[in-house]
Amino acid sequence: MDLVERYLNSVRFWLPKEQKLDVIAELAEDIRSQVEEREKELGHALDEAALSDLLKQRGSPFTVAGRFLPQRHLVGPQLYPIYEFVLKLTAGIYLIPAFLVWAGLLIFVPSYRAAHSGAALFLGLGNLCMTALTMFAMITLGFAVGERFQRQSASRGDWNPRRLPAVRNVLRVSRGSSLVDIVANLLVLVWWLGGFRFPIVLSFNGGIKNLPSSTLWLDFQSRYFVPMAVFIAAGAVLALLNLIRPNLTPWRVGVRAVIDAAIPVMIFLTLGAHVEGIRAAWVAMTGGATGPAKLAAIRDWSLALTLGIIAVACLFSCVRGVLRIKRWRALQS
Amino acid sequence: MTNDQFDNLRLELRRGCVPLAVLAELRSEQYGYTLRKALAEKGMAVDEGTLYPLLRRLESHGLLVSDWREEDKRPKRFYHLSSEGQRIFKQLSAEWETITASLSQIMKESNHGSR
Repeated sequence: MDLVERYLNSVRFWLPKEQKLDVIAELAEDIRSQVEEREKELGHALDEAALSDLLKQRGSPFTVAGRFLPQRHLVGPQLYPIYEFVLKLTAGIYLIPAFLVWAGLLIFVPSYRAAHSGAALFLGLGNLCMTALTMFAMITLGFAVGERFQRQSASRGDWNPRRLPAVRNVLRVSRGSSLVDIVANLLVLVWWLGGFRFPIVLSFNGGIKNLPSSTLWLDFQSRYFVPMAVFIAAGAVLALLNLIRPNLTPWRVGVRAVIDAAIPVMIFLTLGAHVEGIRAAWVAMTGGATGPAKLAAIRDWSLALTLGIIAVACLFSCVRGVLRIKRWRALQS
Repeated sequence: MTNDQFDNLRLELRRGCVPLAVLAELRSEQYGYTLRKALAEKGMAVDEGTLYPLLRRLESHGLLVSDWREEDKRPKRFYHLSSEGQRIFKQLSAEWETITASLSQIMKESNHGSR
């Protein structure tokens, strides 16, 4: 019976203090009754192997004790999908990009490796892990508090059907956003056509001079001056149509998606032709360049980064447009 | 449907009936082990990991009364229905009759429909 005592002792460990004696006494009696009955059937005492099998059938001490405990959770099934979404969003927006930047610096930038040798090289990763843990803890804590309030509110029947949010019409564009789109597209069009400029004026040791435009920018402008002007004008026309008739039609969404797909192609073609220049700008920016040369490097690098961000944003908008068309088709059918 | 799916649905179906079966059995006093055996003999096998927490829950809700007594020189905890338990048991039995009658009716109609 030593095995039974050990089993009961292990179950006891996991039980809440106030239930230990009671549960263990009842469980002990149940096991003894089962052993006695089995021994009566067999006509002899159970050996250790048979006793071990019998206890194994009952489940591990942790499982058995767990059945006597109330079900508790930090985040319940109702809030869990939102909790999971927020965690994924945090990982996608901050943690993964931050990790990629750290890995990129580690792999492609010798000066970063030189400045962070040995354990210091992984300090950035350590900080990122700490940030990830802190974010995870804060989000979990926030949802745990939300869960408590939600449970209390649900038990009071404290909700009003009239306060539920209105059903969002995915095919309707608000007039406000159309108006903003028109103004933004017209301003960009005027700027693109040379209607006004933002001169970058720099001061070096009391002397003032203009920073010349980047070759990357000049190349992008000369290659795609007309197509970009047409796309920006088309964007303004589409926004005007959306203002007049706010319900989107598939062809309007389709035209926008085509524009959004074409712009990244032009950007990536230009960036591809200037890879060496961008790399040289990065080296100059992080290396020993000073004065105007450093500023020119910062300008080139920032421009490349900005164009990259615009391309990604356009791709995102293109995918959104395609999904909108799919949803429109689903609604129609 | 896979065997696993069938087992899960079967388990779900039977799980809802266990409290009623336990209340029915405890119209006469029993202790845990004999209750488990009695249920198993009548085709309603319930493992001890489900039965004992359920007995505690029913007792905490005031539907069962228990007391420790010695039998065969061993302390055993005997359970029986409280007066509240008897009242609830009657209501649940009536509910059970309604459910089985409704289900029989629904299943009879479904059988006609599928022919």
